[in-house]
Amino acid sequence: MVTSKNITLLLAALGIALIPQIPRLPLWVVIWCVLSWSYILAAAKYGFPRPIRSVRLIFTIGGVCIVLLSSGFSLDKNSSLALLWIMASIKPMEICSYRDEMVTIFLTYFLGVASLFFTSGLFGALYMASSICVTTVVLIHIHHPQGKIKAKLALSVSLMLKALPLTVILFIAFPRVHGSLWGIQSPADAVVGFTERLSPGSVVRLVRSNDIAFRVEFQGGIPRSDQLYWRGLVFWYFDGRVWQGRNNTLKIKLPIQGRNTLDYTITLEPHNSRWLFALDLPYESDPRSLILSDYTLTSRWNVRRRLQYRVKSLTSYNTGQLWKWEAFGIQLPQDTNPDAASLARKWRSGFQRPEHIINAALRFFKENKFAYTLNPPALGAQSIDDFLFRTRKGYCEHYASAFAFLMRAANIPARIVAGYLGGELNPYGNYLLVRQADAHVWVEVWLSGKGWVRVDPTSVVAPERIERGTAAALPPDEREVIKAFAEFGPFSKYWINLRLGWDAISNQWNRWVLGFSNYKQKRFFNKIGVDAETRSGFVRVGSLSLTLLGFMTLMYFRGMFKRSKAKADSVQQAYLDFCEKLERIGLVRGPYQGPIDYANMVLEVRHDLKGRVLEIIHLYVRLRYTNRGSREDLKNLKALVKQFKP
Amino acid sequence: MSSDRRSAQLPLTIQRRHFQIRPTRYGYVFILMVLGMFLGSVNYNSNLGFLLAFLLGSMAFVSLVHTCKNIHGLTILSINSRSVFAGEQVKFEFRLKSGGKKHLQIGFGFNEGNAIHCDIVEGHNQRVDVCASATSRGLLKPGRLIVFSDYPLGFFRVCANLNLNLECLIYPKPKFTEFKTNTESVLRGHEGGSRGLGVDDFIGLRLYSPGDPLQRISWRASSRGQGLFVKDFKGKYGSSLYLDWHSIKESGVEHKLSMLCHMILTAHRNDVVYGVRLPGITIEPDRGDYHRIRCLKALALY
Repeated sequence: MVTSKNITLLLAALGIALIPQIPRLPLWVVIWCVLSWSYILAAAKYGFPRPIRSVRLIFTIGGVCIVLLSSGFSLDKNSSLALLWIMASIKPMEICSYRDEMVTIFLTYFLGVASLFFTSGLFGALYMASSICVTTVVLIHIHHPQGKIKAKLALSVSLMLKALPLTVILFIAFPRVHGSLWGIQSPADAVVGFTERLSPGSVVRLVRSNDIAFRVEFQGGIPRSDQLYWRGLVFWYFDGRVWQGRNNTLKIKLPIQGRNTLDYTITLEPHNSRWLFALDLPYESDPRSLILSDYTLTSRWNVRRRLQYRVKSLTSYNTGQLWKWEAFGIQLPQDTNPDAASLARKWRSGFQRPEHIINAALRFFKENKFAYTLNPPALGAQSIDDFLFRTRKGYCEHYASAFAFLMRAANIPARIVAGYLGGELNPYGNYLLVRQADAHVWVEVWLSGKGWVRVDPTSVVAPERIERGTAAALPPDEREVIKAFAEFGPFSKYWINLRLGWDAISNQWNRWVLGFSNYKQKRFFNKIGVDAETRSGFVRVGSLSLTLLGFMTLMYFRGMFKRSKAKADSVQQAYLDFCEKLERIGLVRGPYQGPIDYANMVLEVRHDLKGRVLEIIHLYVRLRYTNRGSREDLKNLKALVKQFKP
Repeated sequence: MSSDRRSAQLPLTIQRRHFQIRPTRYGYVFILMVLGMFLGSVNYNSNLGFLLAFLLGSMAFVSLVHTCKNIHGLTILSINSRSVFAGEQVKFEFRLKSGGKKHLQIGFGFNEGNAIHCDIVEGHNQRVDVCASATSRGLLKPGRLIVFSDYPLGFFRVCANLNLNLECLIYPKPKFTEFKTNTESVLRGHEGGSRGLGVDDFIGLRLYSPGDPLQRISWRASSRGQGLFVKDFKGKYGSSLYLDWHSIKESGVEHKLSMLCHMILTAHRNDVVYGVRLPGITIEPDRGDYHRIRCLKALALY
């Protein structure tokens, strides 16, 4: 029979395993489960009647139907999870045998591990490991209901720690393939990030998010903050309001001349798109990525999981000539924004060199009290005109958009580049943390003899943006929006340090565990001198890992090869040996019997042993219970016991 | 008291060579579950999934190590069993010693389905009673003792099938009958007077030796702390009686044996000097525990 303690423990393990999934579920499922479990607990404790089979069936079918109806009969990740929860809410009702307990345990393990679909960070992983640990404690309890929970917890932890080396060996050595086995992809969640269209307000949305976009580790020192332009997307087409990218950017790498190489590794958080980020301008990258003709980096697949790639960039460069397909850079929609267009035409006729036109445009921003704000007023149909001559309040995309328009109207090829600017240095890991809040948009213009040149109109309006990040550039009343920089009272310094420290650890986790791939596996084996690609290398890797596993197994079993030592002292040991010899002939010492009692009992049956038994007992009594025993006596006792053959 | 000991191989320490390891039903289910997680991780290329699947698999493997260690080193010191009458339960008493650690939830039994579980801890010797039902008279051989453990996780079971040559003598089931002897004297229950036979004259005290009836112990003497003494009488050994196979009119061997058995017990209880005659076997009249056991043994093995 299953005790109420077992049921309580099983439910506790189940609850702990399920907690991380709560935010993913409709509220009613959570309430449903909590109510069901409360009833089961009460039933176990106070002897309420257990629901009969038909009631359970009705609840199961009802729950499943509601889940299916509310999800519109589509089994996506969240509704399958809800179905599992319905099962988990009903299953404990029928726990009445060992089998039910075991089934519940398996369900708990499974649901605990299923959380990895929603959280894979270090914290989530640690939580899942703890959930496995707790479930194991309950499993041990089922198999040994006596004993203390503390000892079971110790055993569970010890099981996990001993399993860890095996896990690590398997993790590293098990052959990996790229891509998915059956092509089933987990449906992606909506994530914050750039889209393929840039309209007024689309970057502001990113800035309000505290999510991490990517982390960067530099091979050398970290460059100056005004060089940290992380290029992601290039926008070419303008319809008067919205900028769009080119669908058919040439997948060829154009030559660049330049110097000041930067070598760095980026760990990109998944964003479900293909673009990758790199510092202006990338010239060499990972084989899994491509450099396109607009010097953006793209992945061969949509980035559905954290991706790590290595890039080399040049900070001073010359892209050379304007290619034919880039003549697009002066395209403008007809008859839009007439005021801005006429301003640009005025500059074009007034200045000789394009550089002067650029300076005139920047001066225009500087001298006309433009303001940098997250809450710009709404713009009308002629959005550029509206912004340049009426509202004069905007965010980076407004400035970039207006600037690019002016340039094109002045017949200078221009395009908009979207990406991130800056990043927070994490002193614990010596890497740069780039958040969505660092999203930025700037402009590139083509100048003959210089190639594409970066111009950031925002820097004129809000120079603090480049040096100290978004929050510094915003008016004080808007800073709170940027959660990354929100103040946490007097402890904010400690809080920020704590957060950075934690991020440094999870960065290592992301890099070494979550970022492990067949590519890294190959590199690892190459480093230890085995080429796993070849057949012989494969065999060597296999035999090496099997040897390691075998060695670990031997280490675990080693206790069974040597005899354990008794802990009794030598006097006690001699006496126990003596008793054992007598027990072998059926004269068992009762727990109540002292040595003299026991001797009397023995002698009643085996009078023939009288001399030796009495001698041994007397020696033992003297050694154990008086202070007169000597070393000689102990020696005698041992010898006598050894010779004693009943 | 009677005890048939099989000390030939004892003490016996359970070692690696005794081990039979196999996954339990739930072990198979667990392996399937981990395999499922693994395949899922391959499909979704989820490193955390790999990690957790490998972790769970490795934990199951380490639990096997624990299970082996749990049973390894356990020592059976002695086995005692007491003869019983057919239809009763024989209790095999095992004395167990730990191998210097705790052995938790060790199962003992003659088959795995019907086993008792107990913990054997270090320090003192533990007694475990394993019962077998005695269905018919004769020598009961319950077979191999199975010592097993699936602690801590229940995914693997490590069994030791120990051939201890266990056996126990089962006496015939006593069946009430009138007390018939060849001398035609009849005793019914306790009447008939234990005083009448063999307790004529008190001779003196002698040292107790096992088998002397408890009624004759001189408690007054033993209370003085001089040891156990037995009052000795000059008995009427000449007028002893025989419990005779042929004097029982019933048919059927088992029937007759059962009745004889009952008569032996009655005679013993009344401290009668009696002998037994079976076809081909004659046991001279005597009395006491050893004599009674000798007679019952003859019946059991007839």
